[in-house]
Amino acid sequence: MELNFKIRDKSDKSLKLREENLTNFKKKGFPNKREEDWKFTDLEKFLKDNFDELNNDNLNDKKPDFHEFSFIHNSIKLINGKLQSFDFKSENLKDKNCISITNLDFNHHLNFANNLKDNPMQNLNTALHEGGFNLNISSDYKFKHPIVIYNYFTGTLKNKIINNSDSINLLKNSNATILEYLVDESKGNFFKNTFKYINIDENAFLNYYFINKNESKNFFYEYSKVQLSKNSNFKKYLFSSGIKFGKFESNIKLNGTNSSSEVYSGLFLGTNKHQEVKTTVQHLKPNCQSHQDVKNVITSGSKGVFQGKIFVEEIAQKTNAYQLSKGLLLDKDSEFSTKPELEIYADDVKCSHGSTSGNIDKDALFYLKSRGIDSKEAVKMIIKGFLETVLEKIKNKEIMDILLNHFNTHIKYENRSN
Amino acid sequence: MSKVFDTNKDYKYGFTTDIESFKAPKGLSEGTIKFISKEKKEPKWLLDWRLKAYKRLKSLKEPNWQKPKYPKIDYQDLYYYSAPKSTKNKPKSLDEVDPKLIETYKKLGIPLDEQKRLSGVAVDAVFDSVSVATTFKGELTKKGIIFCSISEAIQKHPDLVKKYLGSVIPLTDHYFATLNSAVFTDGSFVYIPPNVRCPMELSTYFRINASQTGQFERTLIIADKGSYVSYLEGCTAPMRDENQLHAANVELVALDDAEIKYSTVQNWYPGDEEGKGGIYNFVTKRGACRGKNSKISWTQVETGSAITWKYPSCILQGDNSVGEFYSIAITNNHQKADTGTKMIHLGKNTKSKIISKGISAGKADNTYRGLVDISKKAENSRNYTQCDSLLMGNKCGAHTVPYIRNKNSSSTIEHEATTSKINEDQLFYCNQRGLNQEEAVSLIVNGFCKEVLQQLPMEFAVEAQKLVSISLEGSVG
Repeated sequence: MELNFKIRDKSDKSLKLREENLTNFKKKGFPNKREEDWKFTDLEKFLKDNFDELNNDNLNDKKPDFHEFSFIHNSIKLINGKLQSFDFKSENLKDKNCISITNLDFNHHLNFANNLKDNPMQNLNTALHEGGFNLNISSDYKFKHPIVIYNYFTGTLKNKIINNSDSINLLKNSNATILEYLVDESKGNFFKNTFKYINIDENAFLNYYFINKNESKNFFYEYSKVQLSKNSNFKKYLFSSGIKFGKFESNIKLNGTNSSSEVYSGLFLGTNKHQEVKTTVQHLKPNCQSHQDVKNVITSGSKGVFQGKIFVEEIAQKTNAYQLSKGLLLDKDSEFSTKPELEIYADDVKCSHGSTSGNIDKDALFYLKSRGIDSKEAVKMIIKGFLETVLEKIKNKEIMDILLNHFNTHIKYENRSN
Repeated sequence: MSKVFDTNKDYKYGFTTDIESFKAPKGLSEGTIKFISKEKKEPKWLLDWRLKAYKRLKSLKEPNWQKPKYPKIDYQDLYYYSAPKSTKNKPKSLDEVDPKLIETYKKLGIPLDEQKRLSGVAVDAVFDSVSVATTFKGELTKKGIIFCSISEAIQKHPDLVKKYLGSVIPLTDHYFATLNSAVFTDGSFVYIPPNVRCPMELSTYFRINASQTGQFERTLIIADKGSYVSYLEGCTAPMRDENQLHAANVELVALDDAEIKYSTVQNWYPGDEEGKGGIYNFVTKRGACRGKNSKISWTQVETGSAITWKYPSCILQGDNSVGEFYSIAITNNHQKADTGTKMIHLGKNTKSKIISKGISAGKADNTYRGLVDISKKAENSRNYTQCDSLLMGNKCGAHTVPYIRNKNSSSTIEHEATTSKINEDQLFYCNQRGLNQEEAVSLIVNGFCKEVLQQLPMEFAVEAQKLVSISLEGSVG
């Protein structure tokens, strides 16, 4: 695989930094399975097998037709990772300064990136950084309607690598619901390397949904760094079914008392998919809570991976942390690997994890069949039931509708053996 | 427990040696290996095997992914072979032994003669257990069971040793295992012939001269078709030991319908309360269920050593084979443990069960690290894992690092882990009924460990139960 990476930003200030980062990246290269964090996902091999070349050449693709949802919402539109436009009219803002959204420039990006210098993917991201958005929500502002981020990929993205980063900052007492909707209509192939920096101040909360629209044969790596202050709350829902390769990493720091985080993921991995969900939750202050629930339905040569770590610092007493990962393997070629990890230094805590994997319960299938349901339908019901614990957490009706659509598109189960 | 050893100054790198009786030069080299081999009158194939391991060792790096870090070991500063020690440095009678040590022995209910042996008191050759051992030996020979030191087996049963040595832990394994292959000194050898059920628990205790196996112990146990053996290693009492680094290799082979039960109680010197000294227990234990319907069961109670770093594993090759792992790891003061198991499912209908209980007190760190790997061909396989950790105090750590891979849809894996402290309601309940804090904790901890303690052979279980309580003395309140 040839790497044709060019630094196009020639301004004095950034050139040196970018070059440094590129050299650092080249020293380490793309991570492979010899590295603990990438043990189950050999990125180097995946890229080598699927790309003859990777370049960061400029693209001049015309604007796609955005098919917007019909319910009332705000929107942020991204094309190939870059901020295109935004619209907050539905909020009827009296004070326009409540919400600010700008292009995330390189200097701003550096503020965050410097903390992750050891990560080669971060080095690459910084070296070839080409923008993203920077969303600020003022204190006390509570969104009336959800924000939809239309994340479009269009044109002939051939052997292309996209490096961008986004920042979301919620100040005191604010809240927001964000839906990132991935629409991949590109021809050719690309690899997207994204870093997200999320900061949630005191008493603020953020619900973040990620839903993928159609089948995508492309490669996504995403690293989210989430910082929570006192009494704040973060919920992430990940529905990336349909993506050929995905690794979604969240590093959540519970840095204020009584803060809490929840991560839910429900995936149906159809033909030859590889997806990994990786979470690290750091309990740094007392009385924090965290909950993770990851469900994978895996079939036809797909591989699901979950790596989760709960870290509890000495002073983080009264921590309550739970982690559940389940894999439902539908046929012989499917594989589920997990590494649920606990690292605990405080004694007055309740931390636990559970992990299971296996086939459909024969008794459950028999039960349904004996009540006149044909086996294909029965399997579908069981899959639905399996994912239900994740779905039932969603309170927003509009998002639920989108999600049901998403599952109708992606749950394709060929009844082969049963 | 560590209080017991406060006057012990011998626990430095290498070991105190009696110059007169010592022959091998210091350091690791081809010369040392040839020396060991010559001293033990080994056949050429074994020397070649050792040298091959040494060659391989030179290309390996010491692993550093483990949780407990330790100061760099200077392998050239160690002695790799010492002839049996003279009695010059040993205490002459129990009066010279640390009274606290004796007190612990009394608590554990250990007979006087055994106390002498354990504390390293020079005793006469006619030792009570010797006669016992010879009686047992007669009975074993009648059944065709071979139970001797591995040096003896190399001389007397070379075919068996040649066939199985290194077949479970190959020369090309990790650093410490390869080091052991190059320089191992002695250990046990057990062979159970087909369809024989070993009439008693085999223990190193009954093997004459077992106390001088050295720091690079090598044990090989073979259970032929349809046989059964239960093997006990170690002892509940704190052992006097002069080596700091222990890199033993234990290989188990179970053929068709055979069963091996391997129990360990490890209570070596854990270092003092400041974390100085103590033994590094870096052991490679692996069992292969080669035959159909075979079974290997590991049970371990790890309370000693400054650092315990081991993963007794099962390779489930034969169809319907079963692997089990029961573990209690207790760490107090500055002790560190990184232990767990690997269950590698290769055959059809293979089953494995992992029960791990970690207890951490003082400033200790306790890690469970394990692998469950069900391969594509291991149809209808099953694994159940449960690892619970108990924390006592807020200066200690408990960690769980399981790796779980399922590549077969007809197989099922279940894993659960919890971490918590002793339930205050339980403590209150016990206090209310007149138990003091220490007794209450001991009772609760023993209940916490019960599932594992039950797996130990009877005599062992009673002692181990007491050991669990003693190990946590001083950590409450």
